[in-house]
Amino acid sequence: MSFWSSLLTQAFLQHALLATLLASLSCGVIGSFVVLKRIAFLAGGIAHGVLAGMGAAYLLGFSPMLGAVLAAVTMAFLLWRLTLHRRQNEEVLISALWSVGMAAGLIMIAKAPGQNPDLMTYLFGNILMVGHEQLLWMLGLDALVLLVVTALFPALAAAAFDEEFAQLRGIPVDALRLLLLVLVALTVVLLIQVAGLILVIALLTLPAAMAWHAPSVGSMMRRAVLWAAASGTAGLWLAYELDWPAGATMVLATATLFLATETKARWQARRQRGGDAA
Amino acid sequence: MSVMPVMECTGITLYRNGYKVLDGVNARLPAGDFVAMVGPNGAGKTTLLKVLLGLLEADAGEVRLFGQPPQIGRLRAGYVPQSGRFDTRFPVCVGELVAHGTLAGGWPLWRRRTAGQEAAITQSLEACGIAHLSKRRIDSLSGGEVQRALIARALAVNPQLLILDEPTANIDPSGQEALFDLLAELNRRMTILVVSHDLGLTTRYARTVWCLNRSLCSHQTVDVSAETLAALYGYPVRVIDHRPDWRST
Repeated sequence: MSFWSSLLTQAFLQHALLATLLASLSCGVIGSFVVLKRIAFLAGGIAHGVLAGMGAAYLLGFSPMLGAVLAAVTMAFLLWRLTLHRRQNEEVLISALWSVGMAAGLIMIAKAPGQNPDLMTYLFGNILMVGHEQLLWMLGLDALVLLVVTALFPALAAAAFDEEFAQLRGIPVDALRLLLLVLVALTVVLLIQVAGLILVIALLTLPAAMAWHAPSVGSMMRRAVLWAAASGTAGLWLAYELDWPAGATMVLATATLFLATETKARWQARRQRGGDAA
Repeated sequence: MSVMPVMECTGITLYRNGYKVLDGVNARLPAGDFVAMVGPNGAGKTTLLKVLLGLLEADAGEVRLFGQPPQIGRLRAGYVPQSGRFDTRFPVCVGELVAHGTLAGGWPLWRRRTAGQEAAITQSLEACGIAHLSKRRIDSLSGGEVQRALIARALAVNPQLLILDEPTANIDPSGQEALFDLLAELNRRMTILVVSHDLGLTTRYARTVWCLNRSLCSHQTVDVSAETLAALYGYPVRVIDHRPDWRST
């Protein structure tokens, strides 16, 4: 049976597609900030550090989703606090939290009682296993992210362009920076459902990068959401038809589209320059 | 009793990694003045501007902006930073960039733009002669146009003091002159403090010159002599007085 006819009958595939589309929303909106503020490495650190929260959840026996949210928000706060005065070496701090989080997570998972079949799911995602509970989590996180960004959009956009100028206008830029990192953390948790914490960073950066040529931050976000939804759906379809791992296929589909749009943009720019010269 | 100055600072000293970047800077900026700050690279010009605006904390000394601490007084100041430090690929058009100047501090941050703010944006664009560029993305502009957009953003604040950090750095000579003409025009309604490397332009347009090299000396433009400049730069600087007659009258 083909992907599209299975979609009508198979609940797991419907859940997977719904999860992809829900992830695209935050992915495009927050991904745009990640690309514009050049904090992809920081987002990667948060994503990997999340394993500590999942490990703790395993060890202590509570919901891994809750563990992931708590760990992501804690990571965001720590990174915000440590880089607040911009005196420390940011890359080193992020690298440290990145690997310490993963190490702590691995140890806690190893010491948790019973077998642990889910480690691969956390690392690489398994969108075909997404259930009702996770969809509700995703819906809630999406609503929160979109609500906050819509409410604070003018200040967030101004601070993303020129933090110093925004500060002169009396905008609390340090608080907004913390808020943005928390939103990145929540989005990372959301995307882990789709692609796992190792592959998250591709979904957080590439759709937004495809939308870079938009006339405004708002339209960049809208385009990034569409790119994320399109490439995610294409990846899911390919994964089903080829029987490939879904998260990895989605990342490859997104990267292929990114390469295509980038090549097209460069080709157009070159042709324009050639036209101007003639 | 003298009138309250727009800005006054005393004994500003700032260390960076153990080096003294600013050494007991005293300055007084009277309302309506047009001050040019000159000095060699690394003299601390940008650093001093940031201290005056409360973006950097000095190790010693005090700043008063409009008689208040800089964190409060700066809401009445417009700041035009060096244009080179921006990511020009940022997706923002000129009109939206200028709108950043109308953002008012404090909560809530989600207020809709008022008619007054819209008017301030339009007026700022017109004052800088870039109303026709309002829909253009900033990465399609020339250096001079970007500079005018940044000035328009600062004007949208409706400032009583305009502070500019090397606004002519990426502009050709005729553009530089046009930009200083604009500043002279703006000086009719606000105080201006501009950092510039161009001594010729500076001496022509500014009424006061601040020479900064870790510490600061203030001069009236007629007083700036070859000796003053040589003392500042540490080597002889030739002075070309190309002031047109109409300005000296």
